[in-house]
Amino acid sequence: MKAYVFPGQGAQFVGMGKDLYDNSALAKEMFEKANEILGFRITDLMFSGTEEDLKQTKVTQPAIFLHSVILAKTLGDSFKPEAVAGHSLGEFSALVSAGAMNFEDGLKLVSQRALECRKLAR
Amino acid sequence: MAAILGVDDEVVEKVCEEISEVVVAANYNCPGQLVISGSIAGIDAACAKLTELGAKRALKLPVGGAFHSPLMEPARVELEAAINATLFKSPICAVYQNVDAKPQTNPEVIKKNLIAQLTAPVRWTQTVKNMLADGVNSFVEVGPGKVLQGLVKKVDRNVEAVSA
Repeated sequence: MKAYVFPGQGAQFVGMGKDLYDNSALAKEMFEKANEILGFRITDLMFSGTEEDLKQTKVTQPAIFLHSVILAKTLGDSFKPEAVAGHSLGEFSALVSAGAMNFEDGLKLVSQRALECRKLAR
Repeated sequence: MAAILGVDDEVVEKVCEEISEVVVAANYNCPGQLVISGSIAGIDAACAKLTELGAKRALKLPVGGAFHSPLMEPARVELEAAINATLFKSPICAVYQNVDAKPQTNPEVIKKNLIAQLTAPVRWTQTVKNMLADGVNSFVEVGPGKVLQGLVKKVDRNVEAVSA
């Protein structure tokens, strides 16, 4: 029995997701849609930003979510989970990948979660 | 937040309870690795006490927020409204959620658990144990890094764990 698991904050690195963007038309389309929904080019920060850019919660959380969800999508028919789970923020990626909510709604919730968390940052 | 290594979960829980400042067990990552969360004073006090009690490490994490602690309550309230306004459907397979580590397919329960997540601990150790008990013999990590594969291996070093 195969389980798919989705990471949370801490897994980010500069360059994350760039292979997907460059090699899959579907991935590129989803990343561009995400840039539109977020209102800033998160792909620029993910692919060629600095560690500091990526460490901001408002960037980190959507970046990890996008990498996970888009990677799962590009797996196509070979993505056949019999169980899923995600660590913290990764639970949103797990829910979208398993079809419990759609990509756009998931991204909006993750983005809002990040902004609410940032308000409480210190 | 701070990662506490090499102490039993129960010891960490007890130390957190005895400190008057806000500090709680936040991420049960794998046996011998628990992340605590709370106020800076609470984290400092817990780290000092746990080091005294023989923790291998008490490592403060640069995450900029007290995730999975009661200090996230204002964020939980805001997110609750947004989650309640979002359409959820039955997933194609069971989702083991952080709050109780149990398999779930009911959209209403999934929503409730997702709302509770921000102020509750991530029960990852129990999630992996429950998945193994339910017959999972292969874990595929989808996303950046290999952190979860490492945690799965700490629960069962013989199980298959790979990147997607």
